[in-house]
Amino acid sequence: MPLPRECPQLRFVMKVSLVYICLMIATLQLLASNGSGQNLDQLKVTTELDHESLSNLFQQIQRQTSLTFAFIPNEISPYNNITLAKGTRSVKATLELAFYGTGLGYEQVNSSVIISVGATSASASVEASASVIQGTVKDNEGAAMPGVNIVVKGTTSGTTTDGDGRFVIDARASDILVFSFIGYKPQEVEVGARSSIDIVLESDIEALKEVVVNAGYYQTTDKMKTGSIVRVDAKDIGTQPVTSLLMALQGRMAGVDVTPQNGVPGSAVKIQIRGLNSLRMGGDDGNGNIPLYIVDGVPIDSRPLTPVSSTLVGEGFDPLSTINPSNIESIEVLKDADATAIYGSRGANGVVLITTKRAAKVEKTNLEFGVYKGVGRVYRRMELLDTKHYLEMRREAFANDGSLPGSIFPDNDLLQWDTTRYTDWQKKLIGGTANILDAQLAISGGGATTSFRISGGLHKEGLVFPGDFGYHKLNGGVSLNHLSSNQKFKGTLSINYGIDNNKLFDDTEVMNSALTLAPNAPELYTPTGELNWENSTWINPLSGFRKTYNVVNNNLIANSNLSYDVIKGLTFKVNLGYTNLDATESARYPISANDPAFSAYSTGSTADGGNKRQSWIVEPQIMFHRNFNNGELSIVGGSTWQSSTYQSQSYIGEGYTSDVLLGNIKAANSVTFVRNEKSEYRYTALFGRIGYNLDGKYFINFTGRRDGSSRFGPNNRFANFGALGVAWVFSNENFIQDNLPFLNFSKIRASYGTTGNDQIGDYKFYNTYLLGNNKYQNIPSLYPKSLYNPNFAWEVTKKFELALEFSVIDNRISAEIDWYRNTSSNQLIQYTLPFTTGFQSVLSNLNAKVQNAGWEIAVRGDNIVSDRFKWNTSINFSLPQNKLVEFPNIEKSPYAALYSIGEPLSIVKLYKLLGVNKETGLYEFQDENGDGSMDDQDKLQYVNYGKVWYAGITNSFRYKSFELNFLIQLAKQNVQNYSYPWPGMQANQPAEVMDRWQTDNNIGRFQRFNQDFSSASTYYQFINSTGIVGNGSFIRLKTASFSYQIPEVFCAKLKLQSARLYIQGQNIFTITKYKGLDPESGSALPPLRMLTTGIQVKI
Amino acid sequence: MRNVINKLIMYLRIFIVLLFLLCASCESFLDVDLSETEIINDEVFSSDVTAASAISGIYSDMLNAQAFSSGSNQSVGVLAGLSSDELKSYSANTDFQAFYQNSILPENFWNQSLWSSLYKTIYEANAVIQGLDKSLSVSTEVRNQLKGEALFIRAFCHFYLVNLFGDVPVVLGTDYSENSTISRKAEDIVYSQIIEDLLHAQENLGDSYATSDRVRPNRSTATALLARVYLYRKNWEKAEEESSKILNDTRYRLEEAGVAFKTSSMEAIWQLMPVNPNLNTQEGFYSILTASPVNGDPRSNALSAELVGSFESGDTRQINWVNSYTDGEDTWYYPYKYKVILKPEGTPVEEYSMVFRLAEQYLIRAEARVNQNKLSEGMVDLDSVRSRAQIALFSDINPGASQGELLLAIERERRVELFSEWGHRWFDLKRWGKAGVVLFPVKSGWSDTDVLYPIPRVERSRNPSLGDQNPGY
Repeated sequence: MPLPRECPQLRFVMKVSLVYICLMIATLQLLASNGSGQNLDQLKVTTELDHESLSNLFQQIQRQTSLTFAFIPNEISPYNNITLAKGTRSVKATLELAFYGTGLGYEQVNSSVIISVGATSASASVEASASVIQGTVKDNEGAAMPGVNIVVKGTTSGTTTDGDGRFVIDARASDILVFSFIGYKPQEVEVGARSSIDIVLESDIEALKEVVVNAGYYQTTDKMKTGSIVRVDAKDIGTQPVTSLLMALQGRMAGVDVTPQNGVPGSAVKIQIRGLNSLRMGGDDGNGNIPLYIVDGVPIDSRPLTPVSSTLVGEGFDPLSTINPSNIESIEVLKDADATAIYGSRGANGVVLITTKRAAKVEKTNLEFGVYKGVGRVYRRMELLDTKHYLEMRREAFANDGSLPGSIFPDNDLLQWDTTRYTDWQKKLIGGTANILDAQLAISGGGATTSFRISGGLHKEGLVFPGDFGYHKLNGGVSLNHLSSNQKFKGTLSINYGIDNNKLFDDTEVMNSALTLAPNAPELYTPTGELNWENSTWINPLSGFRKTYNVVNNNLIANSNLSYDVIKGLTFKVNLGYTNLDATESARYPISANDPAFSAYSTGSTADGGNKRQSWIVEPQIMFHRNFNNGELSIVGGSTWQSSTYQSQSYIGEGYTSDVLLGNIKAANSVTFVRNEKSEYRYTALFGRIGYNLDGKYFINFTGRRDGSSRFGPNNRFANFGALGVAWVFSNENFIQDNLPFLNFSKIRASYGTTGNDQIGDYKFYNTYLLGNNKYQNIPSLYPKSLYNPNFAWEVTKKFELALEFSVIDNRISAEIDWYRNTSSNQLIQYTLPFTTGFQSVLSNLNAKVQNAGWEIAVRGDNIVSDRFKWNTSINFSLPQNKLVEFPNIEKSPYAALYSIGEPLSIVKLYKLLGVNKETGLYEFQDENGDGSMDDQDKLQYVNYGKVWYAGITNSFRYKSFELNFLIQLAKQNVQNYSYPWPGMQANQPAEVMDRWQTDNNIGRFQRFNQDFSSASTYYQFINSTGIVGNGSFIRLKTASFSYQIPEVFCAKLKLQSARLYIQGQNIFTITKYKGLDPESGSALPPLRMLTTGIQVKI
Repeated sequence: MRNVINKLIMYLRIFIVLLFLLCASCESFLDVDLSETEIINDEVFSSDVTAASAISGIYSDMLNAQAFSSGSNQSVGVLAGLSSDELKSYSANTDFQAFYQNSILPENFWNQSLWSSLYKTIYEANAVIQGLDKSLSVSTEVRNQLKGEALFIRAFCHFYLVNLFGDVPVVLGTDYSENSTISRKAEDIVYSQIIEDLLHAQENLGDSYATSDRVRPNRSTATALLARVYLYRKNWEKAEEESSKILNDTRYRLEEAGVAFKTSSMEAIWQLMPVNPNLNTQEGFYSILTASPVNGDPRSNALSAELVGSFESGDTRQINWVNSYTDGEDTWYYPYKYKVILKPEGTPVEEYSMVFRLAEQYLIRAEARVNQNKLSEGMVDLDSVRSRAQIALFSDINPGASQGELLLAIERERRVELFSEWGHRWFDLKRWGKAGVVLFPVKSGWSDTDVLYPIPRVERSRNPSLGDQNPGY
């Protein structure tokens, strides 16, 4: 039953209140200075409504104050669907905001607030101090903008807009309100006499630059960063048909050198950030130059996975291969001390932060679908001798040696094989077409508190070799976000799981066969379709393809982040992670891979095994953020607890007598365990970062970390690392604004600090014996594992960086120029030793210093910006300079022959090739010390095989719905040329060897053909001479894509949100003088030229 | 504001206390357990059983296919056999060919693996010697035996080094900083160290074998090498004295040629026991031809025509120790001292790899005696070997032979008795100064500096103190 509209009791209260208001006006100053909690525009409350009723709001306020609310339930009951963005506001502002458009008003009586329709709001009477301003913020397309920051200039008081773009704020008439939102130009508005302000924010061209940058334990923006961080986002990664997501970075970042090792999918990619810091450069010594990979806050062991048997993959498998490139939100690379010091001991080689796509905050349920399909081929073949020239070479070799075929070697090519045949072995063995298919699906959705994203993908890629080989990968990801209704608790969970299956063959010879098999070698198949062995005169290259090899990787990366806002600005956070990588491999060597003539003596064998890597990480953290008058202080502190275990086992089964039983280990005649490794690695750290910025002009950040690693002996476990970063946004200074108005933004930043490196194996400080595979007289055998050095300690890299960032012409051109100098000392290396020590190396700290200095330039230009046509260009350029600065007693060390003080680590020392001797027809070299023999002392030609400079140029054109993007990659480098097999022997050669010595007046570039050992020394000297150095510089159209966005009208008809069609190419063409297959991967299977077409749809 | 700050301070305190609590366990958090497959050095030498395992490790390692002592294609027996006039290589591998053609380059991989496996074995022996010296818990008896074995192994390796490479570093410890800048020592110094080690080994080693069969060195083994060393050093008296110790020992006697290399051979002084479950000896696996050796890697070696032609007719050694393979057109001969190519798993090992055997001691003493002009005594020793071969006794053919004739007879006898074993022929030609005379006519690329293998190139660049390369490289 409704209450009478005018209740006497209520009227009484209102009268009293009028009196009270008069009193209040009189005592206003006093009240304010007393800090009385009873003044509605001074009393602050934190409230939030999500489609809730007004009475809920009153309850929230009552809980936080001593106020009580009086109202007639009927009057407020219609307003049960009010949304009010979370915020701390005065009670007055809160009520104004909540009552906006309702016709409700309020009055205060003592500690009571009376709500009624048409009541005069108390606001009218306190106009003199501060008034409640309300309004809306929209973007230039008229859509409401939630989350816009509104601050009263010069104060810390402010608010944000709610879901409908509405806001309410207390301000005086003289106040200036600053509206800001990432990606939009900030706007300042003077309040004046207005009580309602509607704002349209214009998007900023600089918006793209102003994206939030993930710096690991904290976030920053391009403008505010004091360190060197580069970022590539989903747009550039997602559609590239790459299996390794790191390949998507190639050519896109200054200072980040990504090189494919070969074109076999799933194999590890070489990535080097700002040069070689460590002398441990791979192989048996391990590689001390790999950056740290962090996926969603979880560190991933970045060492390539070593296969159980030697295969095509060279260095090993990519530990990131199962991560789906199209599920990547962004990849950030941290380079300098300021950015990497928070990773302490592991940051010396830079940090690669990989962020997978997350559930968006509030959005309708979305379905995204993408598929592409394409083909890949080897883009280039070497020009080799044809049969005519090949036979000419061979016969001339015998004539030169004065001998006849068959005297040393069987010389099948001349004596047994058809000398009229010709086969292009490159075409036969690596000339196939690889088919690629990729499909992705993602569903995302949720509400204000909880949202989700579920994604799945399939990627299939064939190989260019004949036979049924290929790679496929399936992956799925789940991401959940939760935000509690009081907005204090936040939780995210992301799980990425991938399975990839790589079917290869176990034959390292295939590339060699393709390049060196005699062009008149026999048919691959007999007329009846069997493998042709041509009377046992050759090893049929296809037999290698029967040795199958299969690896299945299961990779789980799970991460959860929980945070709780204890009080304003103070957050507790914990990062939890778990990874589990399980690689299972099997290799099969059937009897049928052997010549049947020997089948009576050949048996089958198998190799099985795998790698397991598991790790967990717990990182409790505390974050504090507070704005002061003109400054902003942020503090991050925390600790890390990490444990990783590694297991690798493999065994071979030998003596299978039937291919049918191959793989059934019980059928093997013998089983031998060849690898049984287990290790555990633990790591703990305390870290912190304090950052302060004053006025948005002066930034200073201090980062520190104390690390402990189980890889060091008890005396050397802990070490401290730290960095200082400063920046000055001088474009915000008045004198710059006055004198150099064309500078829209300009900043100088500098950083200095130390990082470390613990990329060594486990247990190296123990003096241990290993249990061997074999027993002697049933007594287990023990072997000394390695030389023993208990005292090695952390290596330290000191990094210094100076950078200038600026943008001009309405922010249309922006540039960043970095100069850095990193010095690594106390180098922890597998110090190479002569065999007389019993081993080839010992892990120890070397008193050598390696310096990496260089320039990096990144320029971005919006060349043309109009509604219909847009063209922008990004250029990055890196000029690295690597130098061995110090190495005491190098001349007496095993490194004397490898390195030289003042030269880069990537040099090789070579003989100086003088040419071909007129009389002997053999190569001649400079005998530098004149002692008559050629040895290391004569290798005085230092050639740098590293990149002198490299660059990437990206262009993007947009015309209406069409978009064209392409990336050109450039590099200047010397490389080792294709090492010609001994010209004259039974092996095919590049066509250029025909330019050889024939007679004393026809000298040529290559020494005389020869097939016995009379030219052995000069041949070996040649491949260690300047004659082998090639120009590996190249310009490559790395990627190009052309896409068409289907117009909205059509989409609407098809009930789609958006749809895009595209065509994409990879490694499209390469201009190079390099003589081998590819200047980056040498004689390995080169990265393929790929052409794909695809579609992306959003529903 | 004050409230906020107080609260803040409180929370910070809690957090810091929590961090410190966590950190108290930092040190212990980093103590990880050693992998099950590794054992700390001190623990190895804490008991008789594990210390013996360290010695087992040396023998297992010596049978690793890459080791100088394995009997595989990379072992001294094959490589030095190729360098001399025993074996011919039909391999497509240029590094093997280089041994046969006497054109080894300092880069040669197999040459390097000879060097590296020899020094690796020396390291392992030194590690055992040091471990035992430090250990208090290994029993005296076991300690003496194991130390004797390790000293013997060290001498054995240095013996091969000095004979293959000439002046070489003598490595007596495990300190890598010392061993990495070590310089070469003159042959005399190397030999005096070998003799010293062998004398110590004789003291330490027991008279009987430590385990069943003759697969771990005993005192006689050290004596056998010592006799050989004295012979090489032309110390005829001592050579005679040492070899007599074994020849007077009734545990050793010559076996019939057909069973001389079996596991139970009474002729054996020391044998290595195969460790690969699929194989008998690697000598058998690599040398028995089942197809043409031409390009037939790994079975790509055959006996030279000169060697096959040097047997006297009816020699049971030719009958038992040489076999042939024919493809219809061509016939190749191969060493057949070891007769089992593969061993099905589970079946017993039939042959051990012979390292020292009695026949060599007879020939050592024969040569030592003849050189001391004890001609008739020398002839008796020579005839002991000939009688086992069931060929005419020298005392019947030429009872009044001169010293020169006898030495020539011993030379011929050594060739057919010891062929394809441990590089005997190569070393003999060198120590008799006959390498050039014998090899020049049969090896196209021969030059007199080929008697020494080159110091591996990487070794010289890693240790500049090694000084000059051997002449001719």
